[in-house]
Amino acid sequence: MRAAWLVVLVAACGASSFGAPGGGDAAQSSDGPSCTVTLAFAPTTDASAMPIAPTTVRATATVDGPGFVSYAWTVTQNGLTVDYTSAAQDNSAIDFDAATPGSYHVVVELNGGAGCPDGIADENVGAPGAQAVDYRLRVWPSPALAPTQEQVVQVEGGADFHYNVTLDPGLALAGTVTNGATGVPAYLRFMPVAAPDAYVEAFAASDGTFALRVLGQAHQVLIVPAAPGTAPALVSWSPGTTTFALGAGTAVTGTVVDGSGAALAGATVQLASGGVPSTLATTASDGSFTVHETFTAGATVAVAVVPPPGRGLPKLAATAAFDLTKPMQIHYATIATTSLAGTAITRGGANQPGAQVAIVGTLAATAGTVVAGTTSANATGTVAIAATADATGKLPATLAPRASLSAVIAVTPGDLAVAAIDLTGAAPASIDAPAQVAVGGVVLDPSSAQLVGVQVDASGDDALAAAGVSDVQTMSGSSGTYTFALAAGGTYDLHYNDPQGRAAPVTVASVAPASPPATVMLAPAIHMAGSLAISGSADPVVGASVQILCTSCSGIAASRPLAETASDGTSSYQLAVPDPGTM
Amino acid sequence: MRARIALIVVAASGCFYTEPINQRPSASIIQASSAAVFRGDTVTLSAETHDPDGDSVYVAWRAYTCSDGTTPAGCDAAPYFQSSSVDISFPAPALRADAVTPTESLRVILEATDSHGATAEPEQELLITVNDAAPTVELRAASSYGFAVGTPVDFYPQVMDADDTASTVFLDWSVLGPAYADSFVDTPPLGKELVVSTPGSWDVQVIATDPAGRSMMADKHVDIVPDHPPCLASWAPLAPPAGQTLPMADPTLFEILVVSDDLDPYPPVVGDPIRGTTTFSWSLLPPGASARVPLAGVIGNSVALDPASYDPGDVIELRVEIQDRTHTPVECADSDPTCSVISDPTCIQRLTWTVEVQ
Repeated sequence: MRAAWLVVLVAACGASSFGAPGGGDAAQSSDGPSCTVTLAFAPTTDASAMPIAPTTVRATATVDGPGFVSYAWTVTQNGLTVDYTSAAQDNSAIDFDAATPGSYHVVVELNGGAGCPDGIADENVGAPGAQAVDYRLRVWPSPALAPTQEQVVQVEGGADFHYNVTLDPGLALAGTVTNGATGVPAYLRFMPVAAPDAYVEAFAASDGTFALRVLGQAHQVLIVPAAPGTAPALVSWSPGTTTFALGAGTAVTGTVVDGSGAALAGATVQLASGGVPSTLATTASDGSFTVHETFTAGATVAVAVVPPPGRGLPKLAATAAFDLTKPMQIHYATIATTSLAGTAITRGGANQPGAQVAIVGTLAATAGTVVAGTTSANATGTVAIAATADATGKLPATLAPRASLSAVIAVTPGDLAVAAIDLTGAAPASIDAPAQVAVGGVVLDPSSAQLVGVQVDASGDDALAAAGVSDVQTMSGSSGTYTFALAAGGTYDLHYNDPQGRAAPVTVASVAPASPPATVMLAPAIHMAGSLAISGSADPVVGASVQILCTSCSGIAASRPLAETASDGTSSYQLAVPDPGTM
Repeated sequence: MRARIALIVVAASGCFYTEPINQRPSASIIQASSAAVFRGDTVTLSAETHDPDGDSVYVAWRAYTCSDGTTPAGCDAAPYFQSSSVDISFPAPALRADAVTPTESLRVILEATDSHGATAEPEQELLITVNDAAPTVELRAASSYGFAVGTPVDFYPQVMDADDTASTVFLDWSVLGPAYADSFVDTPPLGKELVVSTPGSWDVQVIATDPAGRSMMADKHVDIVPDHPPCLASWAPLAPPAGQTLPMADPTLFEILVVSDDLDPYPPVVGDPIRGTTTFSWSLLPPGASARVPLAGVIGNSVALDPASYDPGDVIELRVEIQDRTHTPVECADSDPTCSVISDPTCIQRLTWTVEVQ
């Protein structure tokens, strides 16, 4: 049997190293006489060999300090005492029965030693047949202590577990953003190469100076200046660099013309590549524009064009490895439009004065082309046209593409409806905005018990998302029931999240308000608990946000925590993590 | 022991020599205090002795518990205290030897003997009346919520009585404060839980009375403080300073990570029946708009914005304001990106992200 030294309590040095990936261990330190207490477990808890219940675990204390020492042990699981037997003549080792999976808290009190601290450690014991899932663990400590950081945690199903987190204190960076000899106000995003989502941000003041705490490792830094004539840039950074020199970038010129070939004035054009935007330009009366960029030569470039208001044109988007040394020709396709003038917004047959309408959708046909040098790309067309019903409840003259689109109607702020509108022919005489639908259901925990206090979040899909409609949220009340009003005609993703950690979140996708799920059972959760520490520091980490995020999500889902908490006054945290289950 | 008569010795020389006759010593009991004695008290006595012959005098003390102390029949047969010291201290037990009968008095016997065995006569006897002991009570106050209004403050009396059990002592509680208490209820075994909604100085008094009617009072002063306003402690992304904008090129979750508050923090404290959580109010100033639009449907700690819903160059203001159970209005000027209801820049209840769509 191989013992793994998991916990080191160093009283003399005032600091200690915490934890090991996948390991459930703990350590603490304090000032005082030199005395080192080491707790070891066998079988070991490491990523490759977690003991599986039922099993017998041996805990061994090794004390390096002056004076005679006797040992008083305590073993608990979920607060309940676990029996043990002595496994050494001097009682420096014990065996305890880990009958069930979970985290076992072991404390050895040392009597007779000169100022020896208690030995404290936690041993994770896994469940048979546990399945494993990786999650991202993100910690947001106070910026004065350490930068935001993230690590991947492999969670094994069927058992609560202990997980201590040692944070890299990083380094304090004070720097300057310049353009020539002049400081430039700017936004800076420091993205660790190893975990770009765990970025830290800063704003450079008008003199270009900024300060933040950042990990002492390689980063990519996105810098978006707030000064005219200076192009955004993505630069590599490593410790030691304090000045970011920006410039005007490379000018990219071009023109925007409409479907008839006429210059389109007042359109905005912006390019982006690798997450870096260009400057923003508005076309002149001759349709010309100039943007400045710092892209990597030959990289894929996204072109975004927003038409001037009132033309009924869609926004264009095209992506290709354009030759930016050549003028960029942006041509709208011939897009027929129709006017919504006089179209009534109705509910229950009554016109709705002041109703706000967003006409949204994506054109089926190619909406235009973007050509630069020998590279040409078709552009998609996205419609986003806003209009407000007049005092008679009718829309003013508003052009929109002749296409099958959707209308997202706010009869009053927050009172929404979604209606399909066919503009391939003449504009309809009216667009009906049905009353919102009262959506309700019951939230259950994995044992089918009703859950009170679960947050239910409805995120609009498709037309609602395109119109920028914000989420609708409510909480489950007595008997686990919830209700809220959703837009008739829309579809929603329903997210169920228990802030109290009694179960793991569940998402039900593409729900029509007319047919919501009657009951939703939240997923089983296991509890992950531990403490936070700053490497090399005895300072507590209080009030740090601790989040669990999925590893395979993208878009906004990658930012939505599956669970979150904050460390308490003792630097401890506890989270309910989705249970990967057992086979 | 009786005194011995000295021998009369006739010396061979024909002269008489008379051995002096040993005389009895005398003794008396000196009480250190004339104060009344209560059950549980310590009695301190001293023996004052004299021997006419100058011999050493040895003392022996015996103390008995009695019911009336006037006759030996009223006392226990065996002493509960004995000593041979000149100065003694011994307790006045609450109960006699049968562990049932209350001690009403003590009978103390002092016997003095000289080095020749002569004993003082008569024995010195002292009858000490033992009175019922008053209870003592101390009051301690504790709060898990910083003594904030609307939260329980627990009062723990520590009752001691030398001759009564704590359970037989009657506790009479009273509360004095700037208003009526919301509730003042028993918390077993002996405590009280006070909840008030008016901050200020509050006094809780308890009078402990034993079955004999003897009583003792204790009071505890607590300062009930107002509910502290919540403070935005951590958020993401970074909010820009005045005059700058946060570029947004990708869908972004604007979230309040941590709200510090005495009673309603975020994230909520799991399993705490008193603590609640923060209330979030979100609003949006759309591009080109002059009035903020409340995001009435959003009650959580985050709002997602998708730049695809806007145009490049659009500037949006997303604002969040927080409140705890006190619901203090956030009344700064609308143009103020941040606001503190207590004029403390380190404790703000409003945060504004000015976002520029990329």
